Amino acid sequence: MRELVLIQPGRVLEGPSERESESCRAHREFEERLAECGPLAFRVAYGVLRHSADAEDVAQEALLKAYRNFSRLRESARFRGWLVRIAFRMALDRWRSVKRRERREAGWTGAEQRASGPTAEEVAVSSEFQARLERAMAELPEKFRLVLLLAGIQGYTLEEVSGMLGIPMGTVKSRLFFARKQLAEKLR
Amino acid sequence: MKCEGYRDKLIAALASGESSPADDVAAHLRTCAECKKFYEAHVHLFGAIDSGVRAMVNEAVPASLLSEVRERMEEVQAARANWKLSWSVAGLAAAVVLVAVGFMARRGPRPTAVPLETVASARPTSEKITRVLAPEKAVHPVVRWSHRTRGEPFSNPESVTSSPEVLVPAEERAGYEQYIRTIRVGNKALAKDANFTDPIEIAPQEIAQLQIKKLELTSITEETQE
Repeated sequence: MRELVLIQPGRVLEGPSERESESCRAHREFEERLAECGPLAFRVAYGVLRHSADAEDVAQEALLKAYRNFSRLRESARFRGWLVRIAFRMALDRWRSVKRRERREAGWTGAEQRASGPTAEEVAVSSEFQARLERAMAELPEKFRLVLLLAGIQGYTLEEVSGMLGIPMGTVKSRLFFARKQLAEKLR
Repeated sequence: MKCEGYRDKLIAALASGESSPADDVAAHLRTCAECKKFYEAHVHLFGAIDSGVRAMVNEAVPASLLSEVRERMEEVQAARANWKLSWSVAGLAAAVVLVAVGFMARRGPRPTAVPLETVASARPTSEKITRVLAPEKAVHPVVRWSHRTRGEPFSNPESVTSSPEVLVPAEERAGYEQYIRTIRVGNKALAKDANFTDPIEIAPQEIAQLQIKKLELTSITEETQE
């Protein structure tokens, strides 16, 4: 006996249930990337802000912004670079507003007081040098600064930075070269 | 090459991340104590820069970061669901309103209440009605508008060839003319064009002449005697 299947001609492929499943799929995909990309967003933000609570706040905002717009991202391979740029931009905005507030408030001495506590590497370099380095980095062009921060993150090679930002390897090396040279000239 | 040239090469090599200087620079460093001192200072400087940058970006990630992000993602999901639901309700309400408006529009406008006095005065009377003819080209504005339908542009009054007639009771003629002039305030050209001709046919009321007989005077006493 032949089995007949009832087909609804009016039903279109992009029905509510398909949209629902699309949303669930995007949610699941984002969730999978969160474990890897969350720390990356935090580190980029911390590299700019040098304040753990502020960096966490910015990283959360950047991740949520990425989550809200995740379905609009056409190439999922570019997710990391996209998120890094969002986090970097938001951290810069926060840093500028912090600096404005610091200028307004008298007696606020600078970034040393905002640091959340020295890490092992911060102990290795003097706090005075670190403060000068932070000031010098703040004066770098943004594209140099971002490459320098990403290249400094443990576990990321220059090839990965190149892929993350979608720029050629030669451009990454060139930006890194000029960034380090400018820092050396400022800190000499 | 002077020392300045070697120092530029040294800085370029260090900025590029090269571990050791080129052969010619290394040979110069063996002979020039000042450049060797410069090189060692810059090796230390670039090392400090790299350490400082690494210290900036390799801060321990707070344990609360991912859990809080997940919580906020759930909030976003819930808000999206609520947003979709509220838009569905709003769309349904809008559809109901549209259907209701369409239904009311099909039924047409309600007849307006007419005062009893107006009804009474509008009764057909046996009076003679004055016939007023609009001129050939000047179109009565009310008549012109009555021919225009929604969405259709105003027709050029000059192009209308009909000469509509309006029947007005004689006693209301002056009032009617006044009415036409007053409702077209602001459109003086139309008011001017509303040229009312005299009645073309006014049937004079003919009243038969009275015939009065001459009175004959008789005395009362004679009448009583008869």
